[in-house]
Formats: sequence, C-alpha cells, structure tokens
Amino acid sequence: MKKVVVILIGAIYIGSVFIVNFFGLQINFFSDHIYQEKIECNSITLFSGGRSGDTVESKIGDDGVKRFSIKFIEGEYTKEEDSLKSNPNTVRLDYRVYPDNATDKSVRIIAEDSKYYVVDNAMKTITFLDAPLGVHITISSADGSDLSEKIYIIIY
Amino acid sequence: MTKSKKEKGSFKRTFKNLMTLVGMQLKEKLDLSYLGNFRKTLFKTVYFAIEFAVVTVLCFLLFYFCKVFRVFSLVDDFPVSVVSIIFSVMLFLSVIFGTVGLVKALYLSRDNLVLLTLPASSSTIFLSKIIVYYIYELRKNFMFLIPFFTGYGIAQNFQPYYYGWLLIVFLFVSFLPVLVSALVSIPALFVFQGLKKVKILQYAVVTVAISALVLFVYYLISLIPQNINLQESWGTTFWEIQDFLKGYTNTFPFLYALTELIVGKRSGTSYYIFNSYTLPYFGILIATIVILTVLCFLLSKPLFYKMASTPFEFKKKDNLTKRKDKVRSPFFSAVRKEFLVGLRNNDAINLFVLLVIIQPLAIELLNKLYSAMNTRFIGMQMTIAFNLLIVLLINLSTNITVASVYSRDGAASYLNKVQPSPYGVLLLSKITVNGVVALAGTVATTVIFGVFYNEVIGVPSVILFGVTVYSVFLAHLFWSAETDVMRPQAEQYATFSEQANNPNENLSAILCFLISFIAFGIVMFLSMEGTLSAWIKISVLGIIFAVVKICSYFTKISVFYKEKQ
Repeated sequence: MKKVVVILIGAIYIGSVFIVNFFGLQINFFSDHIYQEKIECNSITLFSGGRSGDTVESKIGDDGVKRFSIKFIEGEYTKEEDSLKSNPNTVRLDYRVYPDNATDKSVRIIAEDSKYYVVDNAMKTITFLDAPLGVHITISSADGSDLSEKIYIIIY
Repeated sequence: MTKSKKEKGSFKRTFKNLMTLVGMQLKEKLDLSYLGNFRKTLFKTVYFAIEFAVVTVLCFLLFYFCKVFRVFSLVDDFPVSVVSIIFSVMLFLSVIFGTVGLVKALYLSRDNLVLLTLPASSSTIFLSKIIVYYIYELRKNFMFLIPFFTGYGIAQNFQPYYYGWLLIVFLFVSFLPVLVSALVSIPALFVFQGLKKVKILQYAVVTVAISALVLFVYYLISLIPQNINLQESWGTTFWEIQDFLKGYTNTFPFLYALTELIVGKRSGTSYYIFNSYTLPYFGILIATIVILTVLCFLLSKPLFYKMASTPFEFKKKDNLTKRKDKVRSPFFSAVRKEFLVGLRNNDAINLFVLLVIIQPLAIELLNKLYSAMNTRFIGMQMTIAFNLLIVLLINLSTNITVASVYSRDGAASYLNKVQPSPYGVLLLSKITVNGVVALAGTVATTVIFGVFYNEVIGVPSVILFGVTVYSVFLAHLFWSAETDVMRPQAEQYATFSEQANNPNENLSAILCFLISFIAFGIVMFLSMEGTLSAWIKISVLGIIFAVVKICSYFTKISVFYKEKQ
C-alpha cells in the first residue's frame, strides 16, 4: 500500500474521533457559571538562550511562598520591543486554574512597576533586564472569584 | 600522461557514467516525455504549483487554528515539539517504505542484470540506484514535508530567508531515510528470503504479529475513559499533552534538534535559524550523511553486487512432489494458480491479515471510542457514516495494486492471450482471490459493526451496511482492473520489478478516496429519513454501481483486450 494512502487513512481515522467529539455530542442547555476555585503555579518555563523550554520547579520558602531561582544571561537589554523580543531572560508562568471546567479561566499577572523587568499579561511572561533581582508576582483571577497565587522569582 | 591527469580523467568518466545511469533509470521510471513539449511542461509545472499550494494552505490552516484555539500552548504559539513529532513519524514511515522498496530495487530488480553489462563499475551502478531513490524521496518531500514546513513558516511569520533555507536543508535531510533504508535493507533482505524459504517460520511470525496486534488493540481499548468530552476535560488533557511533548523532546533529542535545525531555535519570542546552537547540528547532519554513505558502500554494495549478479529465477532448488493430475475447469485452475502464487509471494496473506484481522480490530477500537461519547442524533449518524467511510477506505485501498495486476506479469502478460480459454475467464481469475478475501473481511467487519449498532439501526440495516460495502468494493475492484486492461504497463514491469509512478494505481488511489467520501456524503444526507429506507437506497446504489462496472469490465475485455500491447 502506498505511504500517502496509509497516512491519509490514519489521519481520517483519528480526525473522525475529533469531529464526532466536537460536533456530535449532546448539547447542555443549562450552564451554570462555574467560578475558579484555585490557582496554582508550580513551575515556570525559561526562554534562556541555548536551553529554551527548560522548566524550573518551585521551592517553598520559609514564608510559605513558592520561590523560583533562575540565572541571568548577561547582556545589554532595554524596554524597546526589539530588545524585549531577543532578550533570553524571559520566563513564562505555567499556572493552572481549578476546576478544569471553570467558565472563565482568565487571570491577571500583577507586579510592582519596575525598570528592571517587563510584564506581558497577554503572553503571561516576564522579561528581566538586569540582575540580581527578586520579584513578587501575584497571579489573580479575573472572573470575580477573588483568588490569587503569590510567587517569588529570584534572578541572580 | 601524468598520474593526476589520468585520475582526473577517470573521475570525469566515472561521473559521466553515473549521470548517464541516473538519467537512464529516471527516464524509464518517470514519464519525462512532457519535457519536449512546452504546453505539457507548462501544464505539469502549474499542476505541481497548485498541488504544492493546496497542501501548504491546508497545513497553514491546521497550524493557524491550533494557535488560535491554544491547542498545544497557553499562548499564541505552535510548539516545535509537535512539528518534530509529525516530522519524525514521516521520516519513520519513509524508512519503512523505503526499506521495502530498496530491497526490491537494489537486490531483486530485473534491471540489475542489464545494468551490470554496461561499461560502469558496480559501485557506480549501486550509487546510481541510491541517487534515483534519493530523487524519489526529494520529490515526495516536495509533495508534503516541504509544504508542511512552508505552512508552519507562514503561520509563525518567519523571515523570508527561512524558505530558501528550507529548500537547502531538505536537500540534505532527504538523504537520511534513503541511506538508513539502504542499510536496513540488508537484514530486511535476509529476513525476507528466510521467511520465504521456511514457510512454517513465516506463518509463526505472522501468528505472533497478529496476536501482539490484538493484545495491543485490547490494551488501547482498556485505556479509553468512560466519558470522552474533550471540551469539558480540556484542562487535564492539555497538561497531559504537554507532558507527552516534554517526554518526546527528552527521549528523542536528535530528532528534536534536527527539527530545530530546520525551523530555528527559539530565543525570547523569536526564532533564529543560524546561531551557535543550530549550526553545529548542520555539521552533525553532514557528518551523519557521510558516515551512512560510507557504511552503505561497505555493507550494502557488496550484497547488492552479489544479488545483482545472481539470476535468482534459475537457481532455485525445486522440491517437486508428484501428485495425481486433477482435471479442473479453466477458471478454477487459474484461480488455484493465482491463490498459490499469492501464498508464495505473501500477497494473499497480507490481504487476509489487513481485511480479516486489522480492519475488524480497527472498527472495534473506533466504535469503543465513539461509545464513550454522549452523542446526540446527528452525532450517532456521523459515527455510522464514519464507520462506512473508514471501512470503504481500507477495503478500496487494497484495490490499488489490482490496477497493475495484469501488468505485473511483465513479459509474460501476453500468455493470457494465447491460452485456449476466453480472456474474461483468465483475467477474472487474477482478481477472484481479492474478492473472496474481501468478502470474508466484510462479513467479519459487519459483525463487529452490528455488535455496536444493531440496537440503534436494526439488524436489516446492519446487513445492508455489509452489502453496501461489498458492492462498492466490487465496483472499485473491477474499475481498477479495467484501467490495467485499457492502459497496460507491462513493458515497465518487464524491465523493472517496481513502477514507482503507475498512472493506473494513482487513478485507483484517487477513486478510492473519491468513492468513499461520496458514499459518506450519501449516508449523511439520507440518514435524516428513516433508517431502513435509507440503507435500502444506499445498498441499491452500491449494487447498481457494481453491476455497471462489472459489465463495463467484461465489455472492454471482449472489445479491446486482444489489440492492447
């Protein structure tokens, strides 16, 4: 059998499951608004040069706040868009919202204004411009449930 | 003449021989006749460009919607790890199919005996065969992988120089599956010949493989959750996908690095193709190609020369056992002969395994997945229609080789015209085994289908489902055989054991998908009215289609077959 034919049949086989799952399920007419119950951030992902995609797990500090430590890659960085794009000292917050079927899972990242880092709420990333530095970050729910998760990132 | 001048002349001559051999083999295997005609060349170029553009657009849409719906990432991104998985699967399939093809092309091809008589060394001939396969691989990459990466580049807003780099890097990447297949073809040949010689071993291997497959399918069925609702459980599913992607990048760092070499390395929110991380991998790729080439010459080439210079047709040791002659009808004699040939070259076994074992297992797994979904009426009709679509695709895809069933006899294909029997009887015997095995497969699959749907649509509709599948299969079977009668490719098979681009097989493949999707559409359309009446209409359409194609087949044989070369 030709390779293309095998691949296409396999793709249609798998695709049929997704199509039925998206278009063929029972409709739930009554939908209660399910609020967020918990926000958790146990890891952050690095975009450091040469090791993109590395994950840093949290450690619990003496004050009970989750701490993340990352190494700063030296260089001249500014808040200009081009500089931010190429800055390897960017971290992404890998947060998780519970329950899984919460109606609105949007969150806000809150941090003190500083000239040493830039917060991107759309991408959920923080780009550091200098070190050493310690930043208190609050991940706050945006669905009105008034929840938050506090973390502390140390860049050295 | 100085030594260096002699060496230079010898290299030039060898290179010229190599190019001549490659050109010769490409001219025979690819239809390049359009190059002499401007209009045909223009048409082919435009057709290729449209094909490329369509695949690119489809891939772009896939990437775009995955980004918009945040399927693989929390942000507006499509991770390289997903691209790498798809790329790795394609490479793996290329190696598997390439190994099978190279075993035939390198060691068992009839043109080897002709090529070895030419004034070129065995190394040059071996290299020419590898280059011809490389050109096929490059052409296949232009049909899918290159448009795939082009679509990715568009979706990720890559710089323009990425597209030039893509073409350059694929010139090198295309070597990998060809060289790996050439090396793997050595043990594959010995396994192939060993299994061919010791039939009991072959049956034991097939039995073990089938048992493993059945166990694997039942293992997969045990993993199916009670309620599959991707939208509700997306929170959990998303992180499971992320864990899987992370596991893949840790387990297959070379393949991931190869993908990063093509698409670039992420730094911040941008991708960089040329940096200190990716360029060493280009060096590793070149080194890998060189090492594989050297290994091919050291290992595969001596075996190639040994096999190519051994005329295997005449060196068999025949174990003849005397049996009492039985008088059978010409049709049964021919069918029996085709069945025995099918057993010997494993075609019959492969067909049996695919249609009678793999197909019912695939349908059982699929319906177990559907059963775990809480579907509404239209969802139920979709599951029935998809069952028909997938069963038809599997059945009809086995008819693609039927589109070359007569041409594969090569130089012996004329024998059908000199036998003292009607042409139709002899030609029909070649496709009878396919029809019988497909009937067994259809019955097995319909029983499995009935287990899931007899309470939903009723037993009569389940039976009509089977009737529809078999009648459409017969129609496509006779249609494929008819194309081989009307446009025989026997000359190609007389020279080579394989024809990479048989137009009849291509047409059969296109018809396979077209007919299956039309049947799917008809079932979805008619499912809105009552179940039994819908299936009666569908099965009647299928029977009419089969009758028309069978009549057309026999008519064309009686009118045209004698004159066809």
